[in-house]
This record gives sequence, C-alpha cells and structure tokens, in this order.
Amino acid sequence: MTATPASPLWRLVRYFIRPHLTVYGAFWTIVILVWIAATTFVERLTFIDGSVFTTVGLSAPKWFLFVFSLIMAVEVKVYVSYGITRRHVFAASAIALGATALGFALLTLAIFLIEQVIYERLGIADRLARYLLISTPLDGAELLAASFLVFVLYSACGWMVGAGFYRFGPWWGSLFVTPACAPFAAVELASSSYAPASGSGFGLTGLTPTWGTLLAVGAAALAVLGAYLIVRDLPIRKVSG
Amino acid sequence: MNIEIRNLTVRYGRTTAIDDLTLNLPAGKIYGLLGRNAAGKTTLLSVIAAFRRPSAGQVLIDGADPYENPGIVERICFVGQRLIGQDDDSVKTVLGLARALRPEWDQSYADRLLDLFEVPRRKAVSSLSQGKHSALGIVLGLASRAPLTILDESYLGLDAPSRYAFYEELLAGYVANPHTVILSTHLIEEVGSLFEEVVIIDHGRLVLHEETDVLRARGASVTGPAEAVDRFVDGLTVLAEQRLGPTKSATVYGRLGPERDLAARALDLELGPVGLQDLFIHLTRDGIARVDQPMEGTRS
Amino acid sequence: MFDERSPIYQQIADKIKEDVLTGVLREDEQVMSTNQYAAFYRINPATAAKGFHQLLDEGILYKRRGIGMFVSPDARTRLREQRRERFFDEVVEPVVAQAKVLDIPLSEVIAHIERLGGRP
Repeated sequence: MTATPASPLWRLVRYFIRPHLTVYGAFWTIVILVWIAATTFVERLTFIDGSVFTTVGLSAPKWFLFVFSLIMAVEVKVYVSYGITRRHVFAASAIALGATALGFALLTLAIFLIEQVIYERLGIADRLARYLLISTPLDGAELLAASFLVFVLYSACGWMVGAGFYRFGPWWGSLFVTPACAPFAAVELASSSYAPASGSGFGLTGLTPTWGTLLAVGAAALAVLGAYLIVRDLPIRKVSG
Repeated sequence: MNIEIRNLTVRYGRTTAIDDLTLNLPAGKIYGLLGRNAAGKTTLLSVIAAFRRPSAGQVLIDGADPYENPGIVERICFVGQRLIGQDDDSVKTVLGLARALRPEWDQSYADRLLDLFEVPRRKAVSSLSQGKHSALGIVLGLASRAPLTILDESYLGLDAPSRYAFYEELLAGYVANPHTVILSTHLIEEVGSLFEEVVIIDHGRLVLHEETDVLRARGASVTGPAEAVDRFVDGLTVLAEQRLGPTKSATVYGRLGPERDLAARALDLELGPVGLQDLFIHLTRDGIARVDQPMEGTRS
Repeated sequence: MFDERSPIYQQIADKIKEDVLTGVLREDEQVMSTNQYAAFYRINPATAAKGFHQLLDEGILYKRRGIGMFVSPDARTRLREQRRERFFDEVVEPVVAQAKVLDIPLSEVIAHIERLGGRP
C-alpha cells in the first residue's frame, strides 16, 4: 500500500477509486446482462429489427451518470469538512467523472462493436432498419467522442442539480433543476436520438457535424463551468448555534 | 496555529451573527469559547475553519486567509455536535474517510479511542445514540492530530465518565504535542480547568478574552449591610445585586487587589469567590454584554 | 479538587507547600512534573506550570536540568518563616476580632491558650 499522496487533490481522487469502480461494475454488469437477455429474447420470439443496445443500453449510462454526479455533489460538504478545499473537491470529482465518462464511452463503443459482430455472424445485419454501422475507425471515433461529450454533459448537469439543492435549499433548488438541465436538454433537442442511421452514436444529425460538435462541446463546457461556480463558494452549514 | 481575527462581521441575510469582532489567539494553547445559545460561537468557529466566508473583516491563520487555502485547511479539524452529511455511512466508513484525507491521521490512536468509548464500528452513524455519536466526533477530532483542533460542543452528548475520559485524552495529546485547541462549551465549571484562556462572546460580540485564572480572580461577591456594600462597590463594575432585608449581596467584576480585601474587612463585609459559571451567567445577562467595548482587562 | 476560592495555580502552589510543611513531601524529594500534575488533576499544563514557577521563584522548589523538580533542602524552614510572618496577621488578629464581637474578654482567651500550650 503506497503512502498517502501529499496533495489533498490526489488523496481524494484515490479515495474515489474503489467505491466508484464497484458501483460502475455493478451498473455495467446489469446493463450487459439486460442486453444479453434482451438480444436472446427478441431473437427467439420475434426478430431483431434494430440495434438492441440502442434501445436497451443507450440512455442508461447517461442517466446513471446524472444521478451519480448529483450524489457526488451532495457529498462536497463532507469532504470540505475533512479539510479539503472546494476547488480540490471539484477538481478531484471532475477527474473522476471525466475518466468515468471516457471509460463509459469506450464501453459503449465496445458493446456496439460486439453487437455488430454478433449481427453479422447471425447474418441479420442486412435487414436491420435501425442500426449503427461502425464501418470505419472514423465512425468509431465519432461515436466515442459523441458518447464522451454526452456523458460529460449529463454528469455536469447532475452535479449542478445536487449542488444546487444543497446551496439554494429545496425551494430554489427545485427551480434550479430546469436551468441546470438546459445544457443536455439543448443538445438532445438539437439532435435526434432516434435517427442514428447516418452513423453518429447519438444522432447529432439535426445539425451539421460541425455545428453539432460545437454545440455539444459548448454546452459541456458551460455545464462544467456552472458546476464549478456553484461549489466554489459553498458555505458549509452546521447543526446548532 | 496563530489565529488573528480583525473586525470580523458575519451576516446571514438580515441577521448579524458576528459583529465587528477582533480577537487574537496565539498558537499552542487550549482555549475555551463560552457563549449562550445563538451567541455566535458556531459561526465564529465556522469562519475560522473556513467553512464560510466573512461578510466583512478578516480571519488570518498563521498570517494567511484560510478560505480555500489547501495548506491551512488540511491542518484544521472542526468537529461539531453532529457529523456533516454522513448519516448513512458506517462508523468504519467515516474513519476510512478520515484516514484517507487527514494528513496527520493516527489510526492506532483512533482504534484505541473507539474501544475506549465503545463505539460500534459496523453501525450506521444515524443509528448511533447521541452519546456514541458524540464519541465518534471526539475520536475524529483527537485522532486527526490537527494543529488546530476545534470542538464545537461536540462532547456534550457524552455521559460524565466518558467526558472525563475525553478530558484526559485531550490533555495527554496536548502535553505530548502542544497544538491549538478551541473548545466551545456550556459545561464551564467542569471544563474550566482545561482552558488556559477563556473567550466569552455574546450577541456576536466579544465580551472578554482573558487567562482563566485571572478571570477567576476578577469576580467577587460582596455581602454585608446594604450601605456598606454600596460604599464598597462604588467605582466597580457591578454585575448583580440581591437584597434580603438590611443585607445586600453584590457581584462585582474588576481587578480587586489586596487593598480591597482590607477595605472589605474594615467595612465588615464578607468577600467571596465567584465561580466561572456564575461570572459567565452574569456577564452575558441581557444589558451587561451590550457594551461596545470588551470588558476591562481583555487582552489583545 | 480545586475550588473557586483562588486561582488554580495558587491552589496548586499552596497544596505543595502544605505537603512540604506536613512532611508528605520531603526535602530533596522529586515532585511530579507539571505535565504529570496536569494529567493527574485534569488541568491545563500551563496552569500547573504557573503554580510550580511560583514555587521555584520562592525557592521552595529547585530544578535539576533534564531530571525534574525537587523540594529545596531548606524548603520547610522557608515555609515556616513565611507562615510565621503571616501567623499574627492572618490567624491571631481574627481571633482577637472575633472575641471582641462575641464579648469574650481577652484574659479568658489568653488563659485558654495557656492551658492548651501546656498540653503536649
């Protein structure tokens, strides 16, 4: 067991590793099991007419991250009470969630690839109406980037909702949910999640690829900035007089 | 860690919790912070611990602003009456977090203290009795070995034997490694002997800051014939008066030197001591502490 | 353990003086360190130290570097001197004053004292 890192920031990052990985492991195990079950089930009873993972697994990771980040934001006060600055808590959380977003994006890509292989093996690839075709590495990279951005978006917004409730209280915190979710809502609205036919994982097809990317990156940056601003001056409340 | 507080004001909306407070707490002493409920103790300690920002004025710890200052806040340990936001965690988890984050954390000491206070490790914090919850707070505060340790009435839930065990542990740790400790409390007589200096605040203002022994010597009760008492206390700060027939008893505050002793005897008056608790009660009664100046003799 | 009558450091000093006078603490015997004292009586070490310093100043205790504090060889003599000086002011005068209040003639008081003095 290595010595405690000297920097408070890395102490906290290291603290996150085990519990986070445990939760992620549980989550993805469930997602994969459901995906396997759904694939088998659908193929047995009817026939697959589209990517099962698109139906079964695409929303789950982003909403999971939304809730997970919300919970992390609510924990900020605990870490500050243990002598970590708010900036370090934010940075540690950003590192953890950023790495997670990347990891989730890689898993998403992997599952789509595996699915593709399975469908080609089953010989059903040709008849699929809704399907993601990863025929070139560029497709794969696009999918990876799009997934990553969406995961970052949902994480940052979840964080804002959680931090907002603590900082603004239940009344204003509830009102704050809407603006806090605006970044990912904007991106979802501007894209079409149900028309992935042109090959981009989350179908940012309502806009040209350039504008779509800019919107996603801009919204993500805004959301991360918002997440930082809420906790930067977070007063820690105590019980008693 | 030296604490310098200059003209500190803290407001919550329209309420002023701390009002233009100036205070110097040199490092390496055990301080007692006394004040009634809602006097501003927790607010003051929260600002020192960088849990919140001042509305006006300055807090300097070792010459620097502690707020968002990593080198300073990691050396401050603040324990309140209840743990913040860890209700569903187990005791074990709580200690694990402390171990991961606190740079000077002493795990073997923590284990020994947990056994001493009989805190069950597997139970969730929310299911602990008040006494065990307080004990857990104590363990966190002591085992953190932080150069500035602040205990905000965090030991009040303990039963008497546990409290005394806590005082012993606190002293032992302090003797082995002198550091700065601030205890806020109501149990003045019990803990008073632990404090090197006492700070009293009321309605967000500093009432006094003095060495405990000096403070003790400042109070006196004067009992005797009413006229004689009145003559004696002329010029002194009278905190309280009681009358029973021709006899009067006054509680005074001030530097009473040996001449006063003789004067009292000459007037056939009886001088008695006033305990810290009574002094505190008198000094913070409405009307006394709304002074614009701290009490005479207040240091810094 | 300590009461409100006087500052704690004063009470500590007084108690040690008492122990020296009554022989509980012998001359050249080592006394507890201030930290041990503080831990034992649950008081602030600085307070204990203050009491000890007063005794050092008065010559009742002396310090041996690196070892600790000891009762001075002439401590008892010194204390008796101190007490003697104060005896008349602090003990005899109140007796006389009290006797006056109670209307007891001084001759009775003196006779009583002499009777007591006769006993071993």
